[in-house]
Amino acid sequence: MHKKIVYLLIILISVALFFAVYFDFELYKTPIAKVINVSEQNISTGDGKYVEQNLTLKVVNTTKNMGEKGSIIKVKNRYEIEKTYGEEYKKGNYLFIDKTNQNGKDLYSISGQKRDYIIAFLIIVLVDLLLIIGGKQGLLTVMGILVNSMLFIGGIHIAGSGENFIWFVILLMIIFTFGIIFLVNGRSRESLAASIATLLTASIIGVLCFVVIEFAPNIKYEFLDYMPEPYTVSMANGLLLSEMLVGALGAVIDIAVTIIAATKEIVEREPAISQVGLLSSVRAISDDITGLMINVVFFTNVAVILPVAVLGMKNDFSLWSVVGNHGFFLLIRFLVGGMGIIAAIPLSTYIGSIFFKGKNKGAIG
Amino acid sequence: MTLAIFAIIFMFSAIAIGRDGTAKALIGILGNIIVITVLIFSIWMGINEWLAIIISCVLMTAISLFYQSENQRKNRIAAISVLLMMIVLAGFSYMIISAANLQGFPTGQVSIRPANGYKAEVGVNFFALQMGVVLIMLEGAMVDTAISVVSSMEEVTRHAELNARELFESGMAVGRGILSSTINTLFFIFLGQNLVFFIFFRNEFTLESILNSKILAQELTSVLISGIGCVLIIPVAAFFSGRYMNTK
Repeated sequence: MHKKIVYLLIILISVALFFAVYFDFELYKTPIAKVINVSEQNISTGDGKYVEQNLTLKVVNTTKNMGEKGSIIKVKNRYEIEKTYGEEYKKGNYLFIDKTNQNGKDLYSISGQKRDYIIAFLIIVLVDLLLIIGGKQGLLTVMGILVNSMLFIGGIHIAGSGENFIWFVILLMIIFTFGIIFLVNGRSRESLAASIATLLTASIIGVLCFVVIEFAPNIKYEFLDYMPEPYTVSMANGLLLSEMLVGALGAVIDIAVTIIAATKEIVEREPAISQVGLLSSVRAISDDITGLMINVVFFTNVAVILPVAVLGMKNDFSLWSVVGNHGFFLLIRFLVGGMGIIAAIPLSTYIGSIFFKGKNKGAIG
Repeated sequence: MTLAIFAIIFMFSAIAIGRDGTAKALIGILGNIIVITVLIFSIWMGINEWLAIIISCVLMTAISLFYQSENQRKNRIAAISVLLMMIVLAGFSYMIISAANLQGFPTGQVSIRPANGYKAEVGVNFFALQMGVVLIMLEGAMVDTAISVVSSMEEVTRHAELNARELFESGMAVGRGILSSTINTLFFIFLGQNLVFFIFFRNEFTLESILNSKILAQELTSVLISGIGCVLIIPVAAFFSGRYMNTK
C-alpha cells in the first residue's frame, strides 16, 4: 500500500514536470510558433529535388520582436527526400522563428525545432524506471548522475574556454570517482580502495595516451566536430585526452569496484595466498565481465559511424578515409575505454591486496 | 597510424591480462566490426536500409551472446529477452526520432556539409540510419545486462530450488545490483563523446539553443534510450529466466 502511494506520487510529479517543460514557451526570448497547417509540393531546382512545405504557424509566446501571441504567420521550409540535412515538420511541432525586416517587409524563417520537451520526456521515463525498478539502488544512481551533471555543467561554465582544460577534467574525475563509489557502495575501506584503484588506472592510461598523442603524426582535428576555433595543437590534444579519459571512467569504476570486492573475499578466505595466485583467481572472475563491458563501450562509441560512413561513401569517399577521419575519434575512445577496462584488473588487484592483506596481518598480530 | 598504435596496445594488453573469455570477446568485437562494415556496404549498394539494419541487429545480438558463453539455455533466454525489448523499444525510438526530427546531420557539424563534398541527394533514407544508430547502441547495452541477470540466476538455480516467482525476485535483485554501474558507464561515455561539443556551445551559444539543438538531442536520445533499455531488460530477463529455469 505504502509502495503504491510512492509510485503514484512519482508518476504524478513526472506528468506535471513534463507538461511544465512542454508549455514553457514564455521562458524563451525567441519567438515560438506551433505548426497548425502543412501543405507540401515536390519541386526540382538546378541543384536537386526537394519537398517544399508551406507551413501555417500560430505564435504561442509573447516576445519583444514578435509582439503578442496568437498571430498567424506563414513560413516556407524545404527538405531533401533523404532528409540528409533538412527536416520535415508536422502538425503540432513547435518551431523557433527568426524575424528579419527587408525593405519594410517582415520576413520569417525557421531557426530550429523545439526539442526540450522530448529530451525531458526521455529523462523523466529513465528516472522513473530507475526509481520503480531499481528501488534504493536506482535512487542512489539518479542522485549520483544528477550531482555529477551539475558539477560538470558548473565546471564547464567556470573553466571551459578550452585552454588548460585537462587540469580541470582531472580535478572533476577525482571528485566523480570518490563521489560515485562512496555514494553507491557506502563509506568503507572497499570504497576507498576502489577509488584509489580507479584513479591509479586512469593516471596510467592518461600518461600512456598523452605520450601516444604527443608523438603521433598530426591528428586531423578538423574532423573533430565542434572544436572551438581558433585552437592550438596542444589545446586540441588536451581536449582529446580529456574526452578519452572521461569516456573511460565509468567502465573503469565498474571494474575496479567488482575486482576490489572479489579481492577482499579471496584474501579473507585465504589470507596466505600469494600475489600471483591472487591475480590468477581475480583474472578468472573478471573474465566474464570484461568481455561484456568491452562490448558496451564498443557499441556505444562506434554506432554513430553508420550515417557518416554511408553518406561519405555515397559521395565517393572511401570507407577507409571516412573511418580514418570521422571514425578516428570514435574508435580511439573505444580503444582507450577498452584499455582502461583491461588495465583496471591487475591494478585493482594490487591495490586490493595492499589494503586487505595489510589489514588481516594487523588483525592477527 | 595513431589508431594502429592504440589498437595494438589494447589487443596486446587484453590478451596478456584477460583469459579465454576476454580473447573470445575480442573475436566477438571483430565479428561485430565485420557486421557493421557489411551493413555500411550493403546500404551503400542500395539494399533496403530497414532490412539491412534488422538483420545486422539480430546478427550482432547473436555474436555478442554466443561469444560470451556456450551455455545454450542461458543464451536462448538472454536472446529472447533482448530481441523482445529491441522490438518494443524500436517502436518507441521511432516515435521519438520522428517527433524530434533527429535524422541526418545538424547544421553545426561543419565537417559534413554539401560544401565539403557531402552532397545530400544520395538516395538513402537517413531516418532509417538514425534508427540504426539507436538500435545498435541499445543492443550493446542490453546484452550486457541481460546476460548478467541470466547468468547469476543460473548460478542460483544450481544451489537452491526456487519457483518461478522466487527466481524472478532473485533476478531483480541481481539486476538492481548492476544497474548503477551500467548507467554510470553510459553516462561517462556520453560525457566523453560530447565534451568538446559542450565547450563549443558554452562559448558560442545560449542555453535555449543548446537545449533544443539537434546535435544534443541526437546524442542524448540515443544514450537515454540505451539507459531505458538497460533498466527494462532486467524484469524481462528475470521473468523469462524464472519461467524456463525454475526447478520446482
